[in-house]
Order: sequence, then C-alpha cells, then structure tokens
Amino acid sequence: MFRKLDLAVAAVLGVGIALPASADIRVFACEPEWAALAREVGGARIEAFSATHARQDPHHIRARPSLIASMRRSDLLFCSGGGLEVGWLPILLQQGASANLQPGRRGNLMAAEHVAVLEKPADIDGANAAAYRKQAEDFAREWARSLAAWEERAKKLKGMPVIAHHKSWAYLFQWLGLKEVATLEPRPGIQPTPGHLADLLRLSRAQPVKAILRTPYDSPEASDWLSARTGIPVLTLPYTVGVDAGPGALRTLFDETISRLEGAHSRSNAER
Amino acid sequence: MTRPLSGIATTLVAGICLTAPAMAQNTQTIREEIQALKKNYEGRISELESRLKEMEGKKEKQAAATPDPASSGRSVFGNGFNPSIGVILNGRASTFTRDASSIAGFGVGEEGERGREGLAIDESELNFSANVDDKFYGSLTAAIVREGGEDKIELEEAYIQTLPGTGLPEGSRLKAGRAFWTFGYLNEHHTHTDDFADRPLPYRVYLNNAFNDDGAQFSYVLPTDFYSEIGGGSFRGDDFPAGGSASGFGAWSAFARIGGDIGSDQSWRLGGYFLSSDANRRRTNDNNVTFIGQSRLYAADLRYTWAPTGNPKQSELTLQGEYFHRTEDGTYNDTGANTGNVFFDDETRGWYAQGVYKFAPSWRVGARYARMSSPDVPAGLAGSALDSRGHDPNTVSMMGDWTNSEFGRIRLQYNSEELSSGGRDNQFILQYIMSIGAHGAHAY
Repeated sequence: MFRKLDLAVAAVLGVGIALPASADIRVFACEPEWAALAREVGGARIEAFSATHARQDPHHIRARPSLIASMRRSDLLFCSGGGLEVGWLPILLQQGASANLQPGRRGNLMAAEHVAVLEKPADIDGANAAAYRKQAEDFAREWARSLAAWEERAKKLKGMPVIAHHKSWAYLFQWLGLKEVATLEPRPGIQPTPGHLADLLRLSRAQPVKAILRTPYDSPEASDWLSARTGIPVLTLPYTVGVDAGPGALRTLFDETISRLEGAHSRSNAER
Repeated sequence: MTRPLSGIATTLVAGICLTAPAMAQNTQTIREEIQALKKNYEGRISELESRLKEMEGKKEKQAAATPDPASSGRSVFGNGFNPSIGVILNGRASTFTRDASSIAGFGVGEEGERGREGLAIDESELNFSANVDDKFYGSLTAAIVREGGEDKIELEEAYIQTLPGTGLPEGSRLKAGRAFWTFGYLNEHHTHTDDFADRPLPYRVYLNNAFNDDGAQFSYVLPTDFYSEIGGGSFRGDDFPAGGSASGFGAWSAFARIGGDIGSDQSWRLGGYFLSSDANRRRTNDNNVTFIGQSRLYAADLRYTWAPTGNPKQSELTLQGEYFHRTEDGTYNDTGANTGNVFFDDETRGWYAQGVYKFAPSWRVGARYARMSSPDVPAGLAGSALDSRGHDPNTVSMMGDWTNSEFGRIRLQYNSEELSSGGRDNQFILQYIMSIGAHGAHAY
C-alpha cells in the first residue's frame, strides 16, 4: 500500500541516485516549494532554481528566454504537473530541455504523477545514494512530527467556513477539514463578476463565513469588496515559499498558514 | 487545477516515514507501537486513497489539458487526444473612411493589403499537432480564408520537428516542412496571438504578413547562463519576399538572439535576422507589379516585459519594436502603368514600436506606431505603384481588449493610416478571437 502512496521526496531521492555522482544536480523547479523540497533532500549537492516566485500565478507564466536557458542546463525537472504548467512548460521542454527531461524520462518529475515516478527502479549509486537517503529520512521524520503537531493544532479549525478566491487550497481544506462555502471566481480561472459577488454577499449574510482567503497573487479587489460589506476578514495565505527558500522553509509555510487560519478563527469567536 | 502540495507532500511524507525501521528492543512494544500507528494512520490512509482516486478521476477529466505521462515515449503536448486538435474562430466588423489603401512606393502582396470592410470572418484556423514518436513532433495548421469571393483552404504550416534525444547535439532542433520561420518577433507567431488586429506595416510590406515558405531550419540553444540561440534555414523560394522559385532553393536565412531577466519581474529578448531570397517573377498589387531579382532583408527585434506587481496575470507592460532594412536589386514592371521592365537597385527601411499594458487581469490597452521609408524611384517607374511621390507610409493604432479567459478575447482597434499622400484613412475594427479544443502553449 505504501508503495502506491510513495512520495515526491522518495522520487527526488531515486532520481538523485540515478544521476552521475560526480557533479551537482541542477534542478529546474516549476514552483518554489519543489525547489525547497529538493534542497531539503539534496543539501549542498543540489542546486535548485525556481521558475516562479510567490507573487506569480503558476498557471500564467511566460516561457521567457531565461527559462529556456535554465532548462537547457538542468539535470532534473521538478514540477506540480496535473496541467498546472501546461501553458508554458511544453514550450520550454521543446526548446530548451535535454532528452532526459522529457515526459516519461528519468529526469522528468511531476508531483501529480508520483505513482508513475515511484515505479522507476532506484539504481543505487554508492556514497551519494546513502547521503540523499539519510537526508530524506531525516526530513521525513521531522515532517511527520510536524504533521502530528499541525493536525493537533488544526482540530479546532474543523468545519470552519471560508470563501476562497480561487480553488487554491482544495487539499489543504480536505486535510484540515475546513469548509469552502464558495469561491470568488464564478468558475475556476474566470475573474469575479459583479453578479457573482452580489450572490456571495447574500450568501455570506445568510450563513457564517469566518474568512475570505486569497493568495498573494490573486487580485485583491473582489475580496476587499466583499470584506468591506460583510466585515469578514480577508486572509492572505502564503501559498508557497520564497524562490531561494532554505532548510525549514516548507515547515514555516505550513506553520504560517495554520497560524493565520487560527488567528481568523479565534478573532471571529471573540467577536461573537 | 490545484497544486497538490499540501495534501500529497505532507501526508505522503508521513506515510514513508512509517517504513523507516523502528529501533525498539522489545517485540511486544514494537507490536503495540505498530498497532497504535496503524490506528492512527489507517484513517488517514483510507482518506489518502480516496483522495488519490479523486485526483485520478480529476486527471482524467482534465485530460484535455494534461500532457500524457508517456508510457511508450509518445506524449502529446496539450491534449489527451492524439493528435491534439484546436480551432481558432475569429471575425470582425470594420469601417474605413477611404476607398483606396495602396501602400505608396512598394509592391505589396495580397495578404499585406487592408482587410475587408464591414462584417467578415478572418482566417479560421484548424490545427493538428502531436509527438510522432519519441524523436519527432508534427504539426499542421490549415486556414480557411475568403479570397476572391470563395472560401479557400490555405496550408499555413505543415512541419515536423526533432525532439530532444533525436541524436542531434543537445540544445539543437531541426524543423522541416512549411512553417512560420524564425524571422523577427511576429513572424513565428500565428496572427491570433498578436496584440493588434492587423500586422504592422513592415510585415505587410516586407513579408506579405508572414514568411512561411517550404524549407528547413536548424536552431541551437547555446549552453550559456543567459539565453542565446543561433540558427538558419534554407527555403524553396516560393513565398514572399521570394517568388516563383526557379531552382527550388531560392531563399536562405540566418539569425541570432539573446535574452534574459532583469530581477524577478522583467524579461527581454533581442534578435538579429537575415533573409536572402531570389524573386523570379514575384507578383504583387493584384498581379500588376512584377519583380525579378534579389531581395535581401535584415531585421532586428526587441521585446521587453515587466510585471509591476510581480504577477503578470494581474498586470503587465509589454514593449516591442522591430526594425527592417531591405535591399532589392533587379527589375520592376508595373503593367498597370505600362512601365515595361525597369532596373531597380535601392534600399528601404521600415519599423514599428508598440506598447501594450494590461491594467487588470482581463483588460489591456495598447498603442502602436509604424513607418516605412519609401525608395527613390527610378525615372522609368514614375507614376507607377512604386512611385511614392515623396510620401512615407505610416500608421498610428490604438487598441483595447477584453479577455474573458485564455480562450476568448474581444478587441476594439482604431487605426489612422496614411499609406499614400492624400489624406488619412480612419479605421475602426471590432474583433473577436476564440479558440476551442487544444490550445497550445505560447512562446515568449
């Protein structure tokens, strides 16, 4: 069962082992969290570059010249997959990437396809393999400890009704049990319309909503508008880490996200 | 399309941790611990499994926008179907204030002419593309166009291209067939991705809107820290600015370009291009003007993008300019003016500069200026289409467009064109551009 549920860390580990041990591994990460994860596992042996930063919407990135150049010199591609980067990654793959980075090849790692990634045979390669494995295990152990703590903290968030700008946190909400009452976007990717906002205004007056959530890259107008009329606080959740995120950044991301949700939760309880 | 980070990464890491060997001495303790862990995680595991199932279901639904995971080395960019199929629908309503719109001083092909007045559909494009196998990619784009009162199919592109791993040096690509070849900024792009409803003057005059001859092109991305690419091609010599290929190898090109980022929110690209073509009875101006000789076209392009808030989806400034220089050596004949064959050896220049500003996620405004410098006309061509009477054609354009989704856009454009002496042509164009089916990724 765990075979099937294996994860990105192990994939990084596996790929890392399979690559030549002599040089550093250059990782082209589509989003900062994957760059951070690669650094957690690879330590000094991995040089990770993130194609996007926290203020950008990863759906909408230009296949700009610098990305072609970075892709050209990378050994490993580490992205979310699942269509998130479909608007720009194919161009980079055609123009800049080596054969090893193409879909289905060893250097192509899509988090959303982790099941397939896992089936790769992990060719064990001496000293480095042990080092990557050790770091991955350390990280995983720490992470499990953090997870338990977060879940404990988040117990009181269970059932907390929120409105999100875009369906950005489906997995987070499912994990912590938050209730997404609605999204500001009438349909995913379509900008909030006056008509839809008017519906949401009625809806949030008729039922309790504790926070309106947005990412740093969602335009603030719609959430501010709704907040001003309902008094429901707007929360900007960090969503990802900095492009040069070092060790511990991923933990901080989760800490910060839960802290902000806790803040909104206790504020609204105090007001009641 | 949600980033699966929070769900997958977190809980899955926890899952793996379980497999790490426990270091307990007492088997009873171990058993108890395992029981406890099992209990603790069983709920989560089943939850994860259902989440996975849900994700897989979602993935299938998303197939139309998901690159295949490639089991047999065959993968399709941008579509679960093979090949991916995309259709571009566009149409416009235009009003002009002048009847004539010939561009003084130049032999201009049919595509370079002003569009049709009133209600009309533009080129409706049909695209099929897919990886052929693990080494080649193929694409075909056919446009259905209205020409001379008839709907005709025009083959815009039909090419194959090598994929990384073909055996060519890393970073290099070979493209063969018919394609919008690398020359300047706009030429490589389909018109539906343009920021304005019409191509700028130098494209209309020098490239008949776009150079898409039959041929082959090689390009190589250098392994440098910044982006740098060189390349060149050999072409049949049928398409404008060539014409009526005699040898079948009538044109060739070379190019080099570099680019990079300035900080995290600005990007640029700069290129230099050369296209040499033989014209063997190149007919323009409703077949009245014939050129026989050699045409050499030099171009430079610069593009700069800046996202002031760091998020280009929210707001973005795009500045773009191209400069062209053409030398032509041969004979011109304008049957409309009964000039006979007249020797012609001159150079002309043309350029445009444009800025487009996205001030809200769905709204953009833009302005463009374009200008041509006409040739000095030989005495034998006085009074012909090649005689500009000292006028340099120029256009001023302004546009605003609304983008509902990445698949649909509506644009209003105003042009003030002074293509020949004798007054401005004020044009209004209301245009829609929509795409259905697969919608390929767009280049910078």
